[in-house]
Amino acid sequence: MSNGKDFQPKIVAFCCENSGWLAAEAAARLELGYPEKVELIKLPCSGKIDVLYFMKAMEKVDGVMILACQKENCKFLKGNERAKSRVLQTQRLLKEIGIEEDRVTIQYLAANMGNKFVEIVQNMYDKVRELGPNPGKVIK
Amino acid sequence: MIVAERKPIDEILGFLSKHQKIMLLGCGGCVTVCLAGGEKEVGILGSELAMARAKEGRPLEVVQRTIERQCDFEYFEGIRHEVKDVDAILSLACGIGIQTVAEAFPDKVVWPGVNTKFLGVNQNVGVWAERCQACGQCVLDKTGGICPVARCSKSIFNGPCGGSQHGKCEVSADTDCAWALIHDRLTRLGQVDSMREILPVKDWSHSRDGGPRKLVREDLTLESGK
Amino acid sequence: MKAGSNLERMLEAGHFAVTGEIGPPKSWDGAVVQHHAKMMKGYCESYNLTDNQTAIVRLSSIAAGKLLLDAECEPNIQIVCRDRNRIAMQSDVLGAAALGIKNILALSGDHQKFGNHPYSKNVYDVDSIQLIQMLDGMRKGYFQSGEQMKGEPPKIYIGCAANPFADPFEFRVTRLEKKADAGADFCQTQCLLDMERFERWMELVRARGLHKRIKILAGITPLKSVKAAKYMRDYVAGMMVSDDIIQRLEKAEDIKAEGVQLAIEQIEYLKKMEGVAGVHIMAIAWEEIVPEIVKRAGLYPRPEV
Repeated sequence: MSNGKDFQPKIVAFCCENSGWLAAEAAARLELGYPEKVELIKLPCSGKIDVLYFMKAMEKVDGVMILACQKENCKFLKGNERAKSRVLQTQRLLKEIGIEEDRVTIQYLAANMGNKFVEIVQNMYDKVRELGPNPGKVIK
Repeated sequence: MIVAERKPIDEILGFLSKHQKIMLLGCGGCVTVCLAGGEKEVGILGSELAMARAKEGRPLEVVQRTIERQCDFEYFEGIRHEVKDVDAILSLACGIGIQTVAEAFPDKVVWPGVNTKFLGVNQNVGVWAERCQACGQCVLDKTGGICPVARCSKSIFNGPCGGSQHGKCEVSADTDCAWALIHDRLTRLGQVDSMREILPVKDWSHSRDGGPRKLVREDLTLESGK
Repeated sequence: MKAGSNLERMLEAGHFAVTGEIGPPKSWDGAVVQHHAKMMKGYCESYNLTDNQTAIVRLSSIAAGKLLLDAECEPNIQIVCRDRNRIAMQSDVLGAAALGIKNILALSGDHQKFGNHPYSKNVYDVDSIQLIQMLDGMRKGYFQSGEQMKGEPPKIYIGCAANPFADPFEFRVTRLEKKADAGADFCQTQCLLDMERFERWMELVRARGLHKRIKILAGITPLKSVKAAKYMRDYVAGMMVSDDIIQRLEKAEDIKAEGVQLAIEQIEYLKKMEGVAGVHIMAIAWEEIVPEIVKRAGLYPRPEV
């Protein structure tokens, strides 16, 4: 395992189907590229995310994120707020076993923001690349 | 329900330091409801333990199982074959469940994964409060359905004491004075005069003070014992 | 006469009684107790000896009581329900009686959370009202279990506390009534720093005729500083300090002198209040001021009974 320049982090991005997922489609229509080792998983709402999903994902990747609708804009009213609190819970769990909290994040965007989607994903990719491989990875 | 809370991770990791393969055993009863040791908590803690050990370069295999209840022997039969292959069991059940696991698997090391806190109620998401102390002789008939044994910091029977102010207990401004609650409720029910009666000294022999308790109901026992 | 203590005789004779209070030290230095007793000797009928007050380990109240007897002062030992079960309490009562202690005051006791052993287990086998019942039973010759005692029963004059400043206000009088029903002979109130509330409480006490069943000694605490007064008002559960008291202290040039003057005025006022049988002066860590207060309140010399 290296933290060298050849390190390509694996990232899972859980996407609300009303924002993150559509923004990814918008990015595709605009033919915008983003790092290939980012896996997208569609959720019916960011509120469907769970600490358990984050933790299971973290067993095999270097960073996880949830892409949620912008504040006050959740179709189910409070899904994005719930998602935020689950991110915080997950960060607390990672912290207590000595894994960087920054490996989990929540980002907010709207369905038409293809550019923003790429920017968010790239930023996360760069940040995790800087952090290096997840030291707690179980499945390599 | 019985309310429990996961033990600090370092304490758990300390228990497991010499093991390579464990069973992390959840319980479908109270600890599932209080979010301390059900199927989901087993999944989360399982990941956490595996990651923590992977980080140390000493992998830990975590077999994750959750059974109906850990306080009944019958439910262990379904996992008996798997228990053979693990070094130890980490139980996320309450103290009762943990002891039942130990009794069901006498040759297996069993570790407690939670601290059993109290018998209580879920007041809000993430908030639980004590309600009963299992004193063995219920007095709720005399106290408007509010228990002074469990809810008064001093378990007194003729309160409120002199430390009650603005409905709160002297111990903490976050703690309701149980006797103020009793007073208010009996007032609302038009029964506050009953508080003039001196409740007599309690017979604590029905509580833990009488030694470990056991209940045998002759009407239910079967000849075979099962 | 139930016990024939100095305090009992004074109250039964109808004199306005004065009691004091001594907090035993956090050491085995019994001289501290005797020093305070000598300082107040002749100014009070009896002296309360606190029982591990505020849940801080101190020299035992019964041992301190014996030290007082040796100094020819009358002890009034406090017993809290926090630290002992009914077996230990009754044993202590017998022991206290054997030493010649006649006044015992029953209290719930402050919770140990704020003491110097917050991790301890508390007892509360009986509560303060049940303790009064138990003491009353003992002086009639019976242990709490109902078993009859051998020989003469111990002679005990039973005291209790009353807090007119705790809540719910309406219940505070009922609680005193329960204590009288349980067998208490006298009560000492929480220190009185809100006269208006105390008067309202006394009105209810008189309306139920309770002052005829139990002797009421009003708690007096001379204030030393505005800070202390505000602390009691804001942070001590079950205490009230009225604004006029705080304002008076704030305006005073010599706060301590004003505190003493205030205590004296309170006593003068209470002397005329129907149903108040005396005062209990709690000048913890300021014991030396007690003689001055008693003298200036016109209560010295104490009557012979």
